[in-house]
Amino acid sequence: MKKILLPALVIFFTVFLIYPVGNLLGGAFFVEEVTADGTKTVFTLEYFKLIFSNPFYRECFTNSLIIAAATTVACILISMPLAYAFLRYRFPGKTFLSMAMLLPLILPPFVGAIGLKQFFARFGSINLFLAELGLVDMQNPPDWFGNGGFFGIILLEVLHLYPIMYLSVQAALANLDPSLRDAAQNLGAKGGHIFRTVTLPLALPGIFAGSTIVFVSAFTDLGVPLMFDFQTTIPTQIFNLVTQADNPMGYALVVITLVLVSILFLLGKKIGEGQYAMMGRSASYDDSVKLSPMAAWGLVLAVSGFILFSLLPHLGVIIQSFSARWFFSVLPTEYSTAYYAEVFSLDLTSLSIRNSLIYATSSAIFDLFLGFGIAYLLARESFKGRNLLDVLAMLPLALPGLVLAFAYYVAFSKALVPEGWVFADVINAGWLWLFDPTDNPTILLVIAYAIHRLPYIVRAAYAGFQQTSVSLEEASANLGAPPLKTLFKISLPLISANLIAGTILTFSFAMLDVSNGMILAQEAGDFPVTKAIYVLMGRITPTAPSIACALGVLSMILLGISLFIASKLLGQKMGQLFKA
Amino acid sequence: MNVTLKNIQKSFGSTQVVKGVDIEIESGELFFLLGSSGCGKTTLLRMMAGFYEPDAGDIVFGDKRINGTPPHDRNTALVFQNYAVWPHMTVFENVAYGLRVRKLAANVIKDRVNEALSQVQMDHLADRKPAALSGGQQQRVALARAIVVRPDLLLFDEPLCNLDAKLRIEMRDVIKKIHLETKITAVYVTHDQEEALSMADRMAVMDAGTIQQVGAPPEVYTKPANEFVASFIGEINMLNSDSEVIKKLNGPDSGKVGFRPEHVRASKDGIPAKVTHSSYLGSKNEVSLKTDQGTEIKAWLNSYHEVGDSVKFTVDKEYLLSFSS
Repeated sequence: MKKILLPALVIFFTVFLIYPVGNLLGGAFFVEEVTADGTKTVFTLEYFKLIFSNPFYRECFTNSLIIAAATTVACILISMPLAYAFLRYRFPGKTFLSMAMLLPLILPPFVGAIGLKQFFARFGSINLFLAELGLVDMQNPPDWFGNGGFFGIILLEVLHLYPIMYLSVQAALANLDPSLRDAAQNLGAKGGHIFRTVTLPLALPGIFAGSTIVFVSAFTDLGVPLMFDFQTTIPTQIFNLVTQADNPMGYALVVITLVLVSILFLLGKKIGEGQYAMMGRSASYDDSVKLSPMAAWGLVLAVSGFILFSLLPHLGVIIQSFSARWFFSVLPTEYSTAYYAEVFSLDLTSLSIRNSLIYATSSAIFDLFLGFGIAYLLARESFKGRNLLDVLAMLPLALPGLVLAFAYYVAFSKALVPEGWVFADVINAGWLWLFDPTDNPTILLVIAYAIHRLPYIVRAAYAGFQQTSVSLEEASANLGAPPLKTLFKISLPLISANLIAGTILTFSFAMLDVSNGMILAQEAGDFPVTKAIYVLMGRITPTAPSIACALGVLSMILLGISLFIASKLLGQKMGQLFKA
Repeated sequence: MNVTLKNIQKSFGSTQVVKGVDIEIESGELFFLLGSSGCGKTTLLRMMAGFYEPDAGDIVFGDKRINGTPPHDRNTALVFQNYAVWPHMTVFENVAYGLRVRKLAANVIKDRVNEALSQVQMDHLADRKPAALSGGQQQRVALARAIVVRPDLLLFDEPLCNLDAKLRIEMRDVIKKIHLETKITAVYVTHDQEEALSMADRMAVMDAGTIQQVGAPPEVYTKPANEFVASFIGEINMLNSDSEVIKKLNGPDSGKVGFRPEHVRASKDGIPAKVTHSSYLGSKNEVSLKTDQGTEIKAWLNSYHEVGDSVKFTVDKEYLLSFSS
């Protein structure tokens, strides 16, 4: 099996990872200089100097950093008490609330922006409602999103990303052996002191891992700033520069993002190395504390209140999808279900649904085979370059959607070999026919989505292989089953739950994706759902927002169902999937 | 400090785990709670530490009723089954933790930590992180961490059950020695009867949430209070008083009668039997005997017998234990 698989993997990673990333770095660090005897390529840091000496780009950089940092801090402040409360206390509706807490994940934050704007815009529901109460002067209504949408962006990022942080923190806390806390209390330490000296230091690697994901997601998110038409961020500038393939500034901005992300991941790895293998937990006892009815209901009220607030974007999208007339009023004045029908009759939207389903399904299936194959090689075969394969399969963790999409766009929309090479014309024509995203982005999008989730699938399958004793496979071989039969009869069934869940998650993330679709799909006929929603919101026809929101609601339902199935398949292990 | 438990009861959900336990633990003694898993011994220990509150009954330390006092104000020190040594602190910091909580001066902390570490022979590893230590070494750290705070009550929760056989015996001596040096009142929970018999000043045998017998090890072994204790500690042949073997031995004529295999001896005018099973262990020969009437008896004999041999055996009357049924 490895004889076929390995060469295929070498080609795959060379074409879809090494070449585009190399091309990206080349574009950012090398410049062609015209000399007396033709052109030659020289190394330069000129573009980076240009970026940091340009006040506009400096502002973009600062804004993106502030957005990411503020989002991370807010997510930590929200998640720590939530995770602690869910771990330590018993209260009614706990299971339901912990499921509800994951709901923000099923809506791309930029779609949520549409919903939230309905409530919090200057002429949105909240101000109008307060005006009716006489608390707000509509001549000069307060601007809740502040600074041209700056706070709105942070708010949306926080509401979308806090579940990821919550899952990381909760997993980190749940991993702690409760007897470590008991030992501290037994020696005379009180709650706060135990938290500072024992719980927090031990949970820190997990908290940092969650923070890295949140920081990077907020830093590289393209959709929300676009929705607020907030131009001074790194992602929006990268987006604007995509189609100017000759402009090295785009390359440099993407490389800066890549460097920042890599530093964070290396730092995380360093901190993670200090992670402590927990010794076997002592005799299992339930150490969660039952709260008095008053305290329990107070907690339930606070948590559900917060969850409801975090679902305001969803609510706004749902209301908007049914509203035939919502103008200068607290709630719509007329309702209609017609927009759901229109989603399926309008070319832009119906095609986008078809496209998204094709992209997401293909990438999920592709990922299933790719991930399983790689995990099998890593777990069961020995070959040269095993470590390299491991690194390559995990590398996409450090490549945000924005970075990879940009790298793909610039690498695959140009000729592969210089003119003058043998068969240059044929090679280049074939290359562009296959991959050129301006022509047909299907292959690139499918592979981009697949590559993004590849580390998670490989890890899930690899873990499955590791938990499955080799002797089970040896027993099958010993009884006369050839390798492939053993693979399909023994190995595959044993790790199938992990694989199916991983595949569903690849599907969901492909449906949710914004950056890749925005950058790689340039023609209306190729748009995925997210880009169709974005384009619809840019239209001035009065029904466009309602149709966009109807499309948003439909994808929300689809995602909700698929994530629900995945979490059922994985039992309690949902949190691990979001940990980098 | 002496410890008194009065009619302690504790339920988890609908299962009653501790069903009215009374124990008097004397100042300075090493007291054992022995029982199989699920008998409520660890629950009892955790109630003394304050991690659980009893549903009913009093826990009295000295002359102070301690119910409701949070764990951090009880001045007990618990040695955990899984060590519970903090992985992010050095050995020194682990041991110093309780002293820092008590806000002692830095030089006092240093002296006392070093003293405790040398008591468990770990002073040379003070700067190590627990991950670099073996299980036995980690348990020594846990022990030093407990004694360094000079607790009123030292608690052990099956501290040796994660160690291999050789280390376990070594650690028994370490714990015993430290108890002799410090003379801190100690309660030790275990399911290992050898541990209890060899280390305890006194022990309580527990079953299904109740105390079956309290006493010094030789007393519990030689005069078990009931059938459960007799069969839980050591091995025993348990027969009805009207069985032919007991009648021939002139045993009591009511209830059940038991005798231990080591008290069976060969005797010319004993009861005739055949050897049905034999395993030779060097210092003794463990055999199963079957009398002509078909009663099976376990016996540890000094001389070697093969399967099929005919043997005549007897048990001296003083070793017959009588239990009312």
